[in-house]
Amino acid sequence: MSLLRGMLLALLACLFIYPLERLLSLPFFVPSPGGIDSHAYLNSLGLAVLVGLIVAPLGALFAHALEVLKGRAVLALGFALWVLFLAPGYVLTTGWLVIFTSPVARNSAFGHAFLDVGGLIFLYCLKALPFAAFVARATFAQASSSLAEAAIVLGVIPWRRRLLALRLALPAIAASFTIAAIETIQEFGIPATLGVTTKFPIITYAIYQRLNTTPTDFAGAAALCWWLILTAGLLAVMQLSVQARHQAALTHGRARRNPPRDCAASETMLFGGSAALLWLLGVAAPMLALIDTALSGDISATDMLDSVPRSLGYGMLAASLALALGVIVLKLKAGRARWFPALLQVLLSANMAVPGLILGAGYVIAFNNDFLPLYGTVLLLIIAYTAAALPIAIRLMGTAIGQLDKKLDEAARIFALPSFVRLIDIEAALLAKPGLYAWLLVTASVMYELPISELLYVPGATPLGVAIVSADMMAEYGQAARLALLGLLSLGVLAAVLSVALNFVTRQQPETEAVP
Amino acid sequence: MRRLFAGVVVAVIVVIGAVLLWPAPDAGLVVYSGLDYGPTVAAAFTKETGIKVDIVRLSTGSLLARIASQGHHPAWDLAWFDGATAAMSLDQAGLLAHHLPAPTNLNATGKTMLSSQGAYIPTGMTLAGVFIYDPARLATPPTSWSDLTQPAYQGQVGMNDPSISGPTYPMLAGMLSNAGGWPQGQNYVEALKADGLHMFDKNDATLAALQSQAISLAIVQSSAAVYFAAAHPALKVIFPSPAFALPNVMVEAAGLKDRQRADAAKFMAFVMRPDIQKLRQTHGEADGDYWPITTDAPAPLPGLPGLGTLDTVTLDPARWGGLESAINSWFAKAMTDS
Repeated sequence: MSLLRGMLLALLACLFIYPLERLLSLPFFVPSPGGIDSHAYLNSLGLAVLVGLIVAPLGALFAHALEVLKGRAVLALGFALWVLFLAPGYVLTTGWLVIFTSPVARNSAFGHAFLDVGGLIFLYCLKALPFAAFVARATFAQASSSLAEAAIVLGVIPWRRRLLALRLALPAIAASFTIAAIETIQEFGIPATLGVTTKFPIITYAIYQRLNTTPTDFAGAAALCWWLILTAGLLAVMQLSVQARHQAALTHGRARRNPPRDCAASETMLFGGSAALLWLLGVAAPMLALIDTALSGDISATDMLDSVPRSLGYGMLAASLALALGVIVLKLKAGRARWFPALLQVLLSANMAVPGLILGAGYVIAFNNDFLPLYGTVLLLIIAYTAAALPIAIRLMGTAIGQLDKKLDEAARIFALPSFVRLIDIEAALLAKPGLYAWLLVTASVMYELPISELLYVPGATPLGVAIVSADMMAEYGQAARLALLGLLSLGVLAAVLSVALNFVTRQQPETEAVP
Repeated sequence: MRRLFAGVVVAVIVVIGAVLLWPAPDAGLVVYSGLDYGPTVAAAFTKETGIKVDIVRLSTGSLLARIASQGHHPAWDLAWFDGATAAMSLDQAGLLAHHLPAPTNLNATGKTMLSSQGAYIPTGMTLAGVFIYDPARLATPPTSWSDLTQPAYQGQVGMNDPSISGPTYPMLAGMLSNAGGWPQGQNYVEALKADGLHMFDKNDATLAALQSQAISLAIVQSSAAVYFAAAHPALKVIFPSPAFALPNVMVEAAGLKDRQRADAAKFMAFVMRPDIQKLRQTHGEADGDYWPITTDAPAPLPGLPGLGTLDTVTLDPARWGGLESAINSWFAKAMTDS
């Protein structure tokens, strides 16, 4: 078992530590020919803080509503947040760019604002809001109702109760701010698509430009990666300190939660209106624009259609590998050795903090030598996708595997069931549904993944994200829209087919009489 | 049933993996092409010689960055793109083979474009930057580079980003050269920036901005401008004085095996044949609008004026290629400084 754990750690080190070490050590040994320009970093930091400040209170408010309220308005709000969470930033941006292809819209005051920094802020807020809400929701989920009850019993007046609630929500707001700021500073798809980045440099796009345009500057890119990682680390430390100082006030002792209550009229208006705005600006407007432009023009002249099945294949393969590796990690983690889970946690947390852009850049350098000449191959792209998806795959499968009762396995062993039967008829059957949802989520995220694809794709075998952004760059929005929508359609068909098949296979079997 | 389902799922994943990862059979020549006619020419070459060509179509900027990133482990054999300066940059990094077979029957213009060490061969010529404008929005167009700084053109002009658009660096180098050289020419570019010069990614994006009236005049490669103007007759093209020659060139990766070198030499000779040049012109979309540089080549396409009527300048690719990194870095900084 120790040997297995050692091998697994070696594999993870090869996937994460080695490429990141190769990349991040560069600035210490190689000077950047272009020098380091702080513009992109300062712009991105400013935007991240601004978006954090806008989104954090909203995220905490929505998270609170999702935790304590019920009703159609809250349901619509939660659903809108999920759709925005899953929608790739560059697809939303493409939709908005389509709207501004009309000279009237482009030349309006709104158009001028959107096609400048205003558009970046708007889209960053849309993408950061679900993260902020979901993170804050986890904090509110731990809150006990006893404080509110005590305030009522003691006759604390309503506005003071609200002030107290606001103070108690500080850890949630801090968590929202941190995650929104980190997501914003690490976002790549929006600046890569919106096209204002040439006038308003953004750090992720600046890193990409140093790696993928002439002259290439790996040392400069690595130095900017350091700034990105250190900033994310600093924000995380700030959040942890707020959490440590104020969390006890919110979650003390054994949390006792009240069931969600119905919305008051004012709450229905507030959250219903918020949901409507999110649906309209975040989903309906860009998606309808995409559908409209996709259906106009010469549909038969759409190029790079092969990128859709190709990326679907990449996604299915990488998701299968990531989930398989994730399950192995979780199984080995469950042993008695203490060092293994600790090391694993460090490795996976570090990788969660490193955006795909940096991981991809590390792979370009680490796997382009005489010993591992994998750069420019599909294999390296799949490995990178798998590595990037592994932390989320482990988190998605962790809860499901944690709920498997150990006694099932013990009973199966007592009855001498072969390991194959235990695997398929017991574990796989129980994990099938959460496994399918996790697999579909990872497949979708890999299918629309952008930074790793941009850096590592094999010339001549363009992935979907690269094809969409390339079409955007050439203002061929009809093609970009058709590719984006075909990708969504193919994912939808895959999800539907697999769900039906799984329901059929895992339906309750009629009991049969045992034959002695 | 469960086992059957699990088996089918595993089999499907294995098949997908095999399809995606199965090593390709001998791909023959791997050609990175930044030019529209690359795939058509490659298909004709394979049809005639039986030598397989795996043509990979990339934008020139992306193509050059890929070659630089791959370094001494090239996944390509030949690359075909616009810009002798870019070829010299790659050569100075030690990535190119030398002593390539020069095309026969080069005319006088073509002979001036040969590389001294045979690091690249010229295969045709375009101009690095011409003006395409909308007469409805700009009644009096500029005719020279110095005209662009006049107040009438403030906020009206757009160009490509040289770090993304491969053919744009030679245009930028030409602008600098025309304004006194490097670094003296910086003042001219900074004046354009102060006048509200817009920057877009590539030819297509700059021309799309012209069409959507975000700008009134675009500075783009001649082939892109002439092709776009043919499709949009309301737009007019001006060949500025001077105009900077932009040869399209072919380079070969260093360290190829003898058989690959022989196949590469056949391909280089093939693309210069008169019938194939005709194919390049007629199947090359925008890139078909080039001036041939061999004596036996067909005439340029009708939209192109005679080269003799233009004031063209050929920049020294070795000097300006060596400066590409410094100039592009300076330009990126200059364009983002407020």
